[in-house]
Amino acid sequence: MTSPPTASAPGSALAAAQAALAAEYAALYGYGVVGARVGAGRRSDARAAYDAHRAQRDALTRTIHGLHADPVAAAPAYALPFPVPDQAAAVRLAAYLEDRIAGTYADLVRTARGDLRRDAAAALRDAALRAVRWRGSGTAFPGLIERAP
Amino acid sequence: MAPGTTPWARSGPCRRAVLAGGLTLPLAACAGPLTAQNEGENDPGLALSARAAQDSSALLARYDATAAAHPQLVAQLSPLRAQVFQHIKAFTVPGAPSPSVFVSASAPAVARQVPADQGQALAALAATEQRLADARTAALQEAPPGLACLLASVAAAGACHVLLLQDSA
Repeated sequence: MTSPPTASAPGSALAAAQAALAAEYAALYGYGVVGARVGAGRRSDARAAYDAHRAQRDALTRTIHGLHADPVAAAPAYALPFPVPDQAAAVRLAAYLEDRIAGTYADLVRTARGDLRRDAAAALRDAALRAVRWRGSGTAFPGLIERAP
Repeated sequence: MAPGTTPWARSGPCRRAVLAGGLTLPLAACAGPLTAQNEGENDPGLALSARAAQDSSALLARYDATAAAHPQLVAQLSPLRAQVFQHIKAFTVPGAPSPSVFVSASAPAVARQVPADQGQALAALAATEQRLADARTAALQEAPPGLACLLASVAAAGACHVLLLQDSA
């Protein structure tokens, strides 16, 4: 008889999935700020991104349940990485959030197999695409911070 | 080849930073050095990586042929081409034959495939990027962990290239 894992071992697919889920919660918080500051012209983009991250949060929650673990909860509060007083900063924050999300999914690709790896690769791609839409340009290695220029 | 010299092994963990400034995430850095995990997996990883380098070299040749046929696109294509060049370097296995040999051998054939219409040339380049991104997404399922991570990242970059090429077509 095996007991269900109560903690996710570092480097495991479960740990990476939990990290991705925590990042999705942080992104949902962050997009709340983005939506409030980004201006009418890009508010629908912020809404679409928010919805996408909510769907990812739900998918990861199901995945982690499927791995017989308790999904991490949202933090009670988040500090922004930089002040977001205006539209330009809101766009920077959105791109920043997507970069970070891409990083967590890159970890999940690395640690997972099968369907979870495939889904993580798709989520990495989607985050990279959203970052490009916010920023207007892309990077050579989305999600791989150590390869960033 | 000794463990630790594969191109993806040099990168270390996929991601080693956490959100700065308080949007703090649990640090789920990739497990240990890739070399340890890659033991026994080197052969399929090397073949996949060599193939990926060759694919990126063929893509680079497409960019060059498109820019040669449509010089007015050079400024627009240059940032994307530069990223493709970085992909070649990331996939290239030290000691393996240079992918540039492949490029120079096939360049005339590639040049003949560039549409004369500028918009169609961009669309053709986007289609090539899309096919390659799809192929890499499929290939990463069988790849060793570190190479899977790199393939996923480069496939994502390719999808971004498609978006940028389509936006400008």
